[in-house]
Amino acid sequence: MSLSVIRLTLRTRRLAIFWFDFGILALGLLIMGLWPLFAENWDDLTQAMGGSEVFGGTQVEGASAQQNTFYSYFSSQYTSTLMLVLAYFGVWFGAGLITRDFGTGTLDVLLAAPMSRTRFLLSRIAALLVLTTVVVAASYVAILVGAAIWAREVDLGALELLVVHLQMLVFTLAVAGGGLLLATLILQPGRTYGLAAGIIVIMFVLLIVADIASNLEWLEKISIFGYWNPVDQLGPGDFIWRDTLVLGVTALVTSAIALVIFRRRDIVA
Amino acid sequence: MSDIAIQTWGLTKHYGDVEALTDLNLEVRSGEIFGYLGPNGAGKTTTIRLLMGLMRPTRGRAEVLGLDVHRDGPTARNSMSFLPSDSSLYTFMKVGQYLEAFGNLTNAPRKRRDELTERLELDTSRKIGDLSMGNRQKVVVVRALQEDVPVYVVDEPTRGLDPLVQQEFGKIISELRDEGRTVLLSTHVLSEAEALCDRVGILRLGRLVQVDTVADLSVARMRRVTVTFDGEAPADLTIPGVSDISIEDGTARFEVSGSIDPVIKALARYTVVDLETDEPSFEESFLQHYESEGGA
Repeated sequence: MSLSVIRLTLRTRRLAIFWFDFGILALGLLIMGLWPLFAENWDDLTQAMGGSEVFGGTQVEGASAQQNTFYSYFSSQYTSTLMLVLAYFGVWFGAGLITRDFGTGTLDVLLAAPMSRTRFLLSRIAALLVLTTVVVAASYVAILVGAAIWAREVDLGALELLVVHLQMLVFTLAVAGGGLLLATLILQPGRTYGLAAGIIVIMFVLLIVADIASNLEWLEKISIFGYWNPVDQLGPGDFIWRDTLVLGVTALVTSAIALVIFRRRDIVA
Repeated sequence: MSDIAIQTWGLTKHYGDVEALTDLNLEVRSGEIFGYLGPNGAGKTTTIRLLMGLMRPTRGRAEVLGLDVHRDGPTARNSMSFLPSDSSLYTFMKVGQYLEAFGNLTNAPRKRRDELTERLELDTSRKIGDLSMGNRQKVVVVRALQEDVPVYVVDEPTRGLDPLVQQEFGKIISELRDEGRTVLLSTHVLSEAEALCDRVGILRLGRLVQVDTVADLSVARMRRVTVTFDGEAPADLTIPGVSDISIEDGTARFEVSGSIDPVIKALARYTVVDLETDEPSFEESFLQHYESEGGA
């Protein structure tokens, strides 16, 4: 790996990452800050909205009623939003890992440096890992601080929250891996972002359809969002390895295929 | 150091059915500025991208300082610096940050960067996005030339530069040659090749049609000349080596190949009010010449 490439990649994304972090931090603190208000009026709210289903209706086995109320709130108000934010981030950063430099013409200069394409792309993937960790860490910090201030009674453990965010991290990397794979195939930024975003939207629709139609539940398994279940990790049960493993394998396989394609493909001006 | 800096054997690149480059056998000697000439679409950029390992050849191979540019890619590129024809800038960066970031990729010496920015009068504290086209091109030039390598591959380097900066660029390139470095300079500007290069290769429709010294290039070069006489143009105007002569009132128009000296000497007999020379397009001047010689 090349430290110069990693540093350059981080440097060229630092402003965008700052704003991503700022937004996620603000969102996390806002949601946690509103929790006492929701908790106080939970019954009235759910009744007015037609039942607790509206707020996620999460029931984690072994959790107390109060915890389940919080999980429902957390799931409906935070993680479902964050899922889309992180999917957007994954598409933007994964696809942009190559296409952005192709668009500016800097890819030619970068690849003319005395390093192999494998080393170049691995350095870029390392930068992706760093930036994704920074973004997900912003969420972790926000929820941890927010829980300490506004949700002490819920008993959210730092370790459980870490596990939640570990799944978020792997989810983002899986989306980014898909974006990177498309980028190495297409190279042009507009077409790559468009196609990656289109696939993400289709996967989201599949999740909704699977949620609505009980005979089409299997659709959930072909959507990356079907493996997003961070709130379930909060319960006292075991870490759900299977879903995180699927996301992790997706991230690894897509990145590996991208690497193989990128090593051989022509960079046509 | 090897006598040959860049060599290709039957280098060919097809894009589907399109033959961008066909059987290129090229030798660029160490320590020379080699002009790679041809109109747009002739295959110059394709050759350069193949040399830089950005594309794989359909067949054939290329070596730089004895290293295969694909098999030994990173090692070969360790000896090369590349200036692409398209803008290759991060417009949100400051000039100094950009040059340093890319210099770090290749361990370019800071001293050389400072010298070049001073000579080309480039303000390193300014944001690239705020620069004019000419100044952006200066950044691209400094980025490439800051590298301390034996071979420079430059594609249309003076595009957008004002004449004074072009002149300074020419001096820098000549100094590199004097230090024993090799420059492959791709251009479609004949005067630039004439001023800077030791030898030139002329490419047309993906094929190398001629390799000449610059002296030969000058012989082949064609100019359009318009002479305005004081009064009527002489009816018996005869100038050796000119063609397509037309006389109208006090103005004579003709084309001249090679040296313009016989024209000046022939005109010295008359009172000339104005003399204009105009360089035809690459296609018009050179390729017609080589076609007529059966070179194409």
